[in-house]
Amino acid sequence: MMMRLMRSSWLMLVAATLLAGTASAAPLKTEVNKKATRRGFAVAPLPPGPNVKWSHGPYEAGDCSICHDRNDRASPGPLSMGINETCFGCHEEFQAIMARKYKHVPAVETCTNCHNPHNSTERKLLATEMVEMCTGCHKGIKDQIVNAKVRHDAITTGEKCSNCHNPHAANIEKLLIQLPFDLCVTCHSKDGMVAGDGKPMTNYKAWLSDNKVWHEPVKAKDCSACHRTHGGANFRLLVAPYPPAFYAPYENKAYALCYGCHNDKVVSVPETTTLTGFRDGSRNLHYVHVHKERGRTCRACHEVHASKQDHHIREGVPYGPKGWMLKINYTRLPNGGSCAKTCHETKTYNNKTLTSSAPK
Amino acid sequence: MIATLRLVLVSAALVLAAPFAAHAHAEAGTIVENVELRTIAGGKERLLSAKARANVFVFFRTGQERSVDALKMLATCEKEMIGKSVHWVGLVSSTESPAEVQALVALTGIAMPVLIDEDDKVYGALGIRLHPMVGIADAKFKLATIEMYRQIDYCDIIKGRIKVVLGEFDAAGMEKVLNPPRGTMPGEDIRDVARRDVNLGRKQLQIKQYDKALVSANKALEKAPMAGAFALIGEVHAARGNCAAAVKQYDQALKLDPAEKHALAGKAACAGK
Repeated sequence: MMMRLMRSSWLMLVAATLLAGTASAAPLKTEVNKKATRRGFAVAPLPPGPNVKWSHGPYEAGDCSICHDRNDRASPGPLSMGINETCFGCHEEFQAIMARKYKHVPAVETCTNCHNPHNSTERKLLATEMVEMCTGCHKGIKDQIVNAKVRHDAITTGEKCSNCHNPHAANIEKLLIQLPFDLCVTCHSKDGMVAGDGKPMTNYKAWLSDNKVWHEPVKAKDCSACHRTHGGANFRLLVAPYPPAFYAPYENKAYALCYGCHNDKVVSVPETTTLTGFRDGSRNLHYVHVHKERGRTCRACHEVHASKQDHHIREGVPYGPKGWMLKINYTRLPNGGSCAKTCHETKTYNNKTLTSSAPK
Repeated sequence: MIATLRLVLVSAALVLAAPFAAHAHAEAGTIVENVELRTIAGGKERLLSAKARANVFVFFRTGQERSVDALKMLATCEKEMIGKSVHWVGLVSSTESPAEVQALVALTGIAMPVLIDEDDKVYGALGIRLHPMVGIADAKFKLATIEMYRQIDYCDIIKGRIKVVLGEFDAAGMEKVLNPPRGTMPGEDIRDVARRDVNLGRKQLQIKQYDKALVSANKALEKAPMAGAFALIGEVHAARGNCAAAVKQYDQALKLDPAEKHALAGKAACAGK
């Protein structure tokens, strides 16, 4: 019994240490404050004013008794039924919406958690501006938005939070209207989009249509595997650091994005016989390319979203200030592959034996 | 001499263990070798079970946020699949610290035994390059799928894949899990908005606000040809004692929807007068 107790305490200690270790790094996923607190907005009518642009039909018509006991604006009395029951009496489609698998707790509780049933300064009779309203409870998201060095326009334009989430209920986790990829390409499928840093953004529908070898997260429609959709610290809203340039000295943390899924040993160990096919015998060629002062970063050879070649290998990579296209000239061979000029002389690797094909 | 012989044997074993292209993970239909491996708990166990109708093997590693998230979700999946013929195992590299693996198991609550993949042989032989990854095979050890971790609907997808192997789910059902249809937003369908007008008009009729009820019904008809809107206009006429005008509206409603209950009831009431 004592031994079991000691063992269990020890395990808890190691678990706590592991947790403490991960707590210092920004999590790769979007954090949501699950202990959201209801705000309890006032539901009384707002006094008329130039900003009070939206009004509920029955209130505007003075038909108080449609919802309340009395048809008397000065003293309408209590509601004749429960709040949501009253609302759904006209807003009938909510009976189907609220039957969906994932429900937003404030919506289940009462519509007036978010809406003023009389009038409002906001569309949809929201009690306050949408982002302010949502982040009033979702503090983790608020922190991300406020502290983001790189911002995402989707949060503040169009339908704002409702561009991606249904704040009532959804059939997809996180109250998403569609899977992440399907949501992202509703905007990122246009030519001519420009990022905050002035660089052109890819039309992903066109790119994925032209390049049939898709990266696993793209196949899984999980853009949020690599991008922090509410705003973040890294360029292109990446969830973790990734070298932005062609050359970078190697250190594990510079590739935190890739190592979020990929095994760092694919790159960090000089010898392997199992972890990568990009090896000559047991000589790990990822290691050879990357472990230098001017190490070639992943982007030098790999296209992260989709490519025409296996291994996500790019046909060419923009190089230098004028973006000259450096051809990679990769060829897959039965026992491995080869890369021809322009990066270096033609070199062949053999990953089917432990014998290197390099001249001794 | 012995070292050279050992190297040659290892090389031969590696070549034999690589039946598919090294660039991608093993494809569905590949037979997974049922190797016996050491367990973190100190025993030995086979990777797969011929007694189970579905075999699930989970590759994970310590010090990785996604492995923590995936295992927490898989712990839930395991519980939800209790009672089904599923054999679960976890797999870690032999380079992992057993103490850290055990701590991760305790932290995430997975019940499956954790096997030690010596020199990542199983991982490498299946062509896997990521963590966490879940492989699912049938009772004959034929690989059904290898699934990467994803943040959205992960447990549903893993359960769906297992159910396909168990024969409880067909391809169409799985497709719905993988690509759920877009969930409409309130008011996105104009007929829903028109229906709100009809419902409001009906409440206005109840409080004898006939003109307002007519306005609401006509607002609905501006949006969509709603049987309920015609029925409501008919009811307003009937309430005002004009059954002839009411019946015309009820007939319009019944043309659109022969089962429109207000029109049927109103027409019957007018006929009885």
